Amino acid sequence: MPHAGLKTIIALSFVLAIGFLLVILSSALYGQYSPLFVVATYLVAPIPNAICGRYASSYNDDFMDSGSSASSILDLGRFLTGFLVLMGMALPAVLAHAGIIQWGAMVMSIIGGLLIYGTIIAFTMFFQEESDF
Amino acid sequence: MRRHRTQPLILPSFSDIVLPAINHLLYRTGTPGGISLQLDRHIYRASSSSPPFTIIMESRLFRFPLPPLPSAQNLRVFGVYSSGGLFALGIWFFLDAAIFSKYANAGTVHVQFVDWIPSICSVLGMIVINSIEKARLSAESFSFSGSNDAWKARLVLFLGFALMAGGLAGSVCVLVLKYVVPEYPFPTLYFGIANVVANSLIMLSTVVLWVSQNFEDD
Repeated sequence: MPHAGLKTIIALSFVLAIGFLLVILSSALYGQYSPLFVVATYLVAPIPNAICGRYASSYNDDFMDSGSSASSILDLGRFLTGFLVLMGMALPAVLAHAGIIQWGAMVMSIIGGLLIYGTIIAFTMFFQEESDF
Repeated sequence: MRRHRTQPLILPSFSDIVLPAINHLLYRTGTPGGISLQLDRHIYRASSSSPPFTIIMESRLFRFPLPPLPSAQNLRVFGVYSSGGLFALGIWFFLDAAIFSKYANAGTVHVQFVDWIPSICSVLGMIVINSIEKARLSAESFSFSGSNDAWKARLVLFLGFALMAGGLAGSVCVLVLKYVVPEYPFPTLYFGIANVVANSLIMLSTVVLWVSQNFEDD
């Protein structure tokens, strides 16, 4: 894992700003604010993983069991995270197909949402050591 | 009597003796056609007394290094993530049909509760199948507290699979009876097709989750 310096933080915040800009543009340009749900989806997406990871580790601490149940809990978190990530991409497509938002808004909100989620993932990857210890 | 500055006795280490021998062996047995044995590239430097020389031990099989294959754990994690993604894809295919029917449908046929039943069955079946502790299934060797619970687990698993297969069959049934037989044109026909696609994707997601969860045990 490369050392996370100041440049990393600046680059990540830049990408995050571009992502938010795209999503907000996709809403504001067309006067239809439902693509903002994409941001909510991507912000919620890492939460099940985090909760289940913490719960599984405490579960392993409490019951000195083999990791069967703990890995099931971890899998539930991963499943929900994968669900939410795909939902962030599927939501604008569904809205555009139903004619609620324009196709351009769909493209912008999907790209913006992927940038936001990529920033969250990269941030947790870079700063995992600090949060663990 | 002034002694000479003591030199530490330098014993020949592993990298001084063994590795040149290995290197020599590899060189002698190497295929002349250009395949050199390389596993990893080590650079060993001899100690400071001897003239510095570098041994590059190449023990890889092919010239171009293969990207490392993902480990079983990584495959398992990826399988679980992609199972969640497939599930979302299925659910949103069906929700797309329902939302389209509500907001952009020009026809008279809409998505009703009948269309929801197969998907509900599939989701229930998926929950049932993946809730079972798989250790209980495997056999009579696992008898907890005297009673043998394998048949219970198998019964519940059968129920789950029946729910899932019923969901898929029901979606095909809805497609045929509601949309194909009255010969509706395409934007309406899409509701039935999306239903079948959604149920197939949920089934595929279950299969992927099942396989990747049992992957670790092997």
